[in-house]
Order: sequence, then C-alpha cells, then structure tokens
Amino acid sequence: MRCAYRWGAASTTALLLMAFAAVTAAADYELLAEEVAEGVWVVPGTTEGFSRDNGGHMLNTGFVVTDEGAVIVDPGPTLRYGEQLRALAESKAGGAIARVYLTHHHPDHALGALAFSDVPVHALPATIAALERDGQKLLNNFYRLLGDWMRGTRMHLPTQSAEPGQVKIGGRRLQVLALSGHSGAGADLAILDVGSRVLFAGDIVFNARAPATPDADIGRWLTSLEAVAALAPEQIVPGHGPLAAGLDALKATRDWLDWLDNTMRDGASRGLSMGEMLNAPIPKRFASWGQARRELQRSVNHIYSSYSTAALDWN
Amino acid sequence: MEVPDRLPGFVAALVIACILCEADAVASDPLDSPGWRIVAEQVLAGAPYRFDDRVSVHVPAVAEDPTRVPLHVQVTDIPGIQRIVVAADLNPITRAVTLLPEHRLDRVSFGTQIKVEQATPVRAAVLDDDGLWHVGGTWVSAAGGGCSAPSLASVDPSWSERLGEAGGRIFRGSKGVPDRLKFSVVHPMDAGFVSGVPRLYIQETSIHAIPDGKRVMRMLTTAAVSENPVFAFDFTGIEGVAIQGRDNNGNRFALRVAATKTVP
Repeated sequence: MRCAYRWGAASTTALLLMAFAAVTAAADYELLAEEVAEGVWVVPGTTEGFSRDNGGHMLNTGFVVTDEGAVIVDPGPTLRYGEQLRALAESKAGGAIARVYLTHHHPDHALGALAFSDVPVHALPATIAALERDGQKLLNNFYRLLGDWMRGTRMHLPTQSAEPGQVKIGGRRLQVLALSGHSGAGADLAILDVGSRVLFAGDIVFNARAPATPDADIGRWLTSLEAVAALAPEQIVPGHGPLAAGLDALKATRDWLDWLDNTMRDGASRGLSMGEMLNAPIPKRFASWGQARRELQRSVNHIYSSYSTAALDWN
Repeated sequence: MEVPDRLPGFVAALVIACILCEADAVASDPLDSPGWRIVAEQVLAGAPYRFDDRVSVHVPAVAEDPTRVPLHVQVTDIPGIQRIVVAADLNPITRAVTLLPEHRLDRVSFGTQIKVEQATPVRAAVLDDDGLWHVGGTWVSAAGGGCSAPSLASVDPSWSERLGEAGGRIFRGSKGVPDRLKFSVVHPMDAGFVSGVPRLYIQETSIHAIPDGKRVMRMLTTAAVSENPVFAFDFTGIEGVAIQGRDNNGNRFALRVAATKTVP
C-alpha cells in the first residue's frame, strides 16, 4: 500500500479534486416527504447508524400541517438538515412554521434546532436539562463523527417546556406524551395526531433497526411501550426504521428489549466478562435488522455492568 | 521527449519504494501499528516473539466509552504458558495487566476493561517455557481521552468510604466448561493525568486456593485498567479462593470467594 504514495503529483491533485467534488455534492441531504395521512408528513431515514456518508440522516423526522403552519417533529442532526427540513415543510404548509417539538435530547434528533431559532422549540423539561448538561459534549462528538455536514451547527436550546396532554394548533389536535426509558426519566416525548391517529413515537419505537441504549432504563421503556399500545395508534412513525401499521413496530421493539434484558441476565449468571458479551449470539429474527451487532456491543457497555455487579457476592 | 529524461529518477524512486516495502514486510506487524516496536522492546523486553492466531483479543470495533473498553483474551493450545500480558500500543500507559500463574497453563480465558487514550491496537502476549512470546491483538477505534479523563471517584467527596470494597463469585461450569472466577474491586484507578488527582491504582493482586492456601496466580495491574475493575478468569478444580491486593499507596483489599453449587 505504501508504494502507492509514490505516484505523481498530478494524479494526487486529480484525486483531491474528485474528493472535494464528492464532499460538495454530499452537502445535500435530498430529503423527501411522504404524506402518510392527510396533512401528516414523514421524512423517512434509514436503518443505518450515523456516519460521514449519511451526514446523520438516518432518523425519521416529520411534520403536521396546520392552519398556523407546520408543526415539526424533530429538527434532525445538523443545521443543514434542519434548514432543508424547514424548506420542505414550508413548501407543504404555505410557508409558515408553527412550532418545533424535540422528541428527546440525542444529537441525531436535536442538533438541527438552530435552523428554527425564530420559532418556538418545545421539549420536555428533562430533555432541556439533558441538553443543558450534555449538549456541548454531544455537539463535539457529532463534529468528530460527521465532519463537514456539521458546519455552522451550534447548540440551540428549546425555548418552551412541553407538557403532556392535548394541544390545539391551527385547527388540529395533537396529543403530547411524556414517556421514559430510552433517554431518561420523563425525557421521551411522543406526539399523536389525534385526527389521523398517526403517532410520532421518537426513539421509544424502533423498527427493523436495533434500539440504541446509551441512556436506557429497560424496565421504564417497556412500561412506556404499554402506554403507547393503549393509545391504539393506526400508524407508528418510529424514531428509526420504516413506518408501520398498528403495533407491529412497537412489538418488534419490545421483542428486542426483552431479548437484550434476558441475554444480559443470562451472561451475568454464567460469570461472562463484558468482552465475551460482545459476541453474544443474535437470534435469526433480528439478523436482518440494521445495526444489530453494533447496538448489542454498545448496550454491553451501557448496561451490562449493573447485571454483572448484581451477580457477585459483595463483602 | 519527456519520458526518457525522467526515467532514471522514476527508476530510482521505484527502487527506493521497493526497498521500503521490503523493509516493511520484514518487520510486519499484522496490525500495522506505529507503536508495535515500543511494545516489543519495552513490554516484551526485547525477547523473541511471533504473531499467533491461537491468541485472540475480543474488543468492540468502536469503543463506546474510552474509559471502559471491554476486553477478553482467549488463548488455546499453547503449552507451557508462564505469563500473560495485555497492552495497548498507543496508550500513555502501555501495559495494562500481567498475569503470573503459578502453574504452567495451556489455555487462557481472561476478561477485564481498560482505558484507551486514542484508537489503538490492543494486544495479548503469552510467554511460553521456551521464552517465546505469542502475540495476538486487534484494533479498537475510539474518540479518545480515556486515560486522561477524571475518574468518577475523583469528583465524589465520599469516594474513600467504599474504597476496597470487593465482590466476587465462582461460577461452576457445566459439562466440559471450566469454572469461572469473577471479582470486582471499588477503586478509582486514577492515572495521575488529571491536575490535582494523584496516581492511585491497584498494583498487585494474589489469588490463593482454599483450603490449602497455595498461591494460584499473581496479577500486576496499572492505571490503564478501568475504574472499579472487574476481572474474570477460567479456573478448574478449585473449591474457593482467597484474594488479596494492594494499591500503590499501600491500601489493601481482601476477598474470599467460595464456589457456588450450580449455575442457575
């Protein structure tokens, strides 16, 4: 490989120009919106993790069109994403943005808020506290992971505390839920469009993509899933992965969390080390899910210690 | 004609390139690490070594938390193992753990967590009876800063109240699976890289068999091992163990672990 460095300067320059062109072209997220019910739009992501290839565009965002303008659900990972989402929403909602909701504080969902600095940005109090505490760290990490996609992105804290319950905006009724388990206690917001019964679930629901657990409390998360099921939504927009009818995506999330909890408990009861848990077998039914091995390995770091410590006898 | 004019220089460059490539191939570290030479000289004390597939190191591809990188070393079918070393090439504290078993081993299964300061190869090296090191390892990618981050204890005013608390258990293996000893100690494992927080880490731990009291193994550790360290080892034929350790300030910890009957 090292021998390759000895090729001429001309080809190096050409390569640099090509690389530059690729970076410049990649600046566009090419966001598309799908109308999943009347006036309810989803901007679908993928089942990937964030990377310099996708610029953090792997989550689902969306908006609901009202007479006062669009209600945005999650401004996305970067200023650039936020700007492009805003342009898309304005084009469908007569040029106005009514407000923004953050579902939770994780950077792929929250850091694009700067693009909406002139409209109210609502988040649960626990989400605002988490952004005040960890925001700069999350921002720095995303600059490292996403590079140029992050250009111009700064922390823009939510301006309003969201409260659970129904709100009426521009003739549409929305129901805000304060849930727990994915991002912290009372730090997961979900929002139901009451008319269409489309639920934007935030990262309480994943579909065909392994759930991420950096701030997870699995017990609380499972309880939140019950609360979501009780709402009987007609469609669920998961935080990551394809939109699904009924409760299919919710059941898939519950299945993974139950399996993860059992796997950790079983490993601790056999005295396995964290390093051994990295290679724990993943059942066939999850094999096609995005990020399955990667999220299992992250989860080992996030939660295995508590299972392992509890399995020892302490003096 | 430009090509003939440049030809001698081009040939010379090719020759130099090939010499460099050749030199590379001779010193070939499968992980192509800039730090391998230092590990070989300092950690392996310049003794002969070979890269050996029978020594494997399991770490995540990406370190989720650079202060706590899970690591498991598996060694199979190398007779006469007298020493096991775990090291990270590009860490400011290269060597993390040395295991010194009292009896020669032919297999090793050992897990713990270490800090990494940046992306680095993580190595395990086992020394056999002939004085040859067998080396395995893999890269871990990381955001970095794991060694120079303050411990949780260093910002907790009550940290000393739990210092040296220890927990452990022997997990009985079933049908052909060896027994597993796992223990953990409450300790900050401070590296001394944070201003005003002096180096404080567990240096030496001894494991003795119960009831005969014979030493089974000594373990030497550095501040590259994570805070509140956890250690897991495979063992066979031991009813229980008495574990004693001390840190670089002379604080001691002790723990007795009796084997439980069965795995639940």
